[in-house]
Amino acid sequence: MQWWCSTSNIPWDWSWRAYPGVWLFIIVLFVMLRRWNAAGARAAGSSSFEPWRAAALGLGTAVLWIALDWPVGTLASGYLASVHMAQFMMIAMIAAPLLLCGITPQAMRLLEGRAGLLRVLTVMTKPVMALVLFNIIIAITHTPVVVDTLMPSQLGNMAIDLLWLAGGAIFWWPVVSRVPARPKFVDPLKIGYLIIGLMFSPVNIGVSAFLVYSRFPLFSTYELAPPIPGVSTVFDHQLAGLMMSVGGGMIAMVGMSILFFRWARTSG
Amino acid sequence: MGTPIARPDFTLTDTHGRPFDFRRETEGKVALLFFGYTNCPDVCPLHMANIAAVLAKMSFDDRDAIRTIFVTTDPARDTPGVLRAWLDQFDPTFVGLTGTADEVDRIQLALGLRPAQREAAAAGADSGEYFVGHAAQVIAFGRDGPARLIYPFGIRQTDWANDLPLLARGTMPRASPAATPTADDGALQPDPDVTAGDLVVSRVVVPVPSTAERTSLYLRVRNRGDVADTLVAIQTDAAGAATLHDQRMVGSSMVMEPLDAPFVIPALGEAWLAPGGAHGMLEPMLRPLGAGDHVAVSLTFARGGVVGTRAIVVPYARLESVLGAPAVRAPAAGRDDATGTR
Repeated sequence: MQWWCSTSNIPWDWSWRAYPGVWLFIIVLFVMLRRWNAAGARAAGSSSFEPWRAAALGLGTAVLWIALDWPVGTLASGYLASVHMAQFMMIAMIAAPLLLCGITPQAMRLLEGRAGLLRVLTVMTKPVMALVLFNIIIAITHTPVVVDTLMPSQLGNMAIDLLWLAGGAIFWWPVVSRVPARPKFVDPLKIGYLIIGLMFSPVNIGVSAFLVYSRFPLFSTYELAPPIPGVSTVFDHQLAGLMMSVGGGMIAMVGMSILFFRWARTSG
Repeated sequence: MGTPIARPDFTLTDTHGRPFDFRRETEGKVALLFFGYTNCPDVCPLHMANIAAVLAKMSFDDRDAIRTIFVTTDPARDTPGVLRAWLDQFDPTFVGLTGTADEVDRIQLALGLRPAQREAAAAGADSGEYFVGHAAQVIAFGRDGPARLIYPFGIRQTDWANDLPLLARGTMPRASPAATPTADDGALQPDPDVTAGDLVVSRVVVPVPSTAERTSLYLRVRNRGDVADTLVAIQTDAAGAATLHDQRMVGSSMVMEPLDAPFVIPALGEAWLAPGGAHGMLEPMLRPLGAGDHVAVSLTFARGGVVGTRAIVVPYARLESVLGAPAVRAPAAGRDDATGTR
């Protein structure tokens, strides 16, 4: 039994596979975030917060679980580059912001009492720095040599998954979180940040273009994987590139819409 | 450069029911010869898809100089119609050949390949379902006749794209193993040789079980002494029992049965437990095995005593390369080395 997904070279079928490491990670993460929220409520002397935050926490955890566990995690780790890309988007672009939204403002304010951590967060989540770090993580984790080296190992695969989650959290932090306070980073600027980060990032565009227009498959992990009937390697790679480009744009549109309406409501 | 493999002389039946004289039909052309079967879950469709993808990007003249020949090792299921439909998914110009199991085995033996062997499908599978263990390499015969290059499983489209145009123009691609190895080949290496007295045990490999009940054990034993020795018992921590089995042809079928003669390691020689011949049979399995796992193995020899070692578990597709096939895109150095089968 494997504890985390990795390239297996076993022909694909729909037999369920168990990944206890994924379950443990999801449970620990969910419990820790809940406890963090509870600690925030205790410190603030009030347990009231917007109900949607609990929903966001639950939804974010669920999306992360779906992305890491069978079948998405299995297909992504050793069969289809397109599912690998879908997994990346689910982890970094959907689960990460949802989990951040699921942390209550009271819980976030606890960070203000931890000077060292706050200093690190302040630097890492500066919008420009967050953009740079996120793009570095995307570039590294989509480089063929890195993918083909790490994917066959469970530890390597987990490292990629966690890097995506961390990168997503860093990227979304300045948009979602109010700690550290950035009064000058107003909603219109956040909209611009999402446009740059998700729609016009040179790394995003570069990776997706390489996948779509490359003459030959980039990743040997997927080129030499046991084939899924009806899906050619080239089509799979092209689909992965399209998903990165179009999917990133769609997620940016959702985020931008939310920010725009919030800005319109508060400024009007 | 090693010894070239002569272009074989055989006639099988193509997917239109016509006789196909391999030597005559491919004369003056590059012939990519591969033995496989259409129900293959990995190696066969990957080789065919990758060759087809590269051919589609080549010039007409280069493409016209190349013939891809797929000989089925599963004639019972791969009827000409089935074979044609399967090959057409990749490239309608691919030639599919069928023959009796005897004929196909003879051709493979002549090329230094072990005959294909039928393996049980997963537990609970339909009785008509089974796998066929077969050689995983494509043999590339040059336009001048013999084959000087073989392409094991793991070769990528970029490698084909580099080599095929050169072969098509009658040029020998550089024989350096420049191709990218498969992602996990590095992790799937057998343990170092174990030396006990005159015996050296190496390349101890177990394929990922295709059923929950059993799998095989393969290895090589060299005897540096001047007295023959005999392997009398095998024990592992992965199976309730380990016995020596053999594969042999009965009529047109390959059957597996307990080895009825001592497994002798000749003096100053070597012996293999290998696919298609004598091998260790591990059953019942005590635990599931996945690629990269290790199995503790204890071998008892009549003279050499007990030798402990460890087997690496490898996917079937990697079996040949881990057992000792040449490096990716290695030149054919002689029959045994060229094929990677023993």
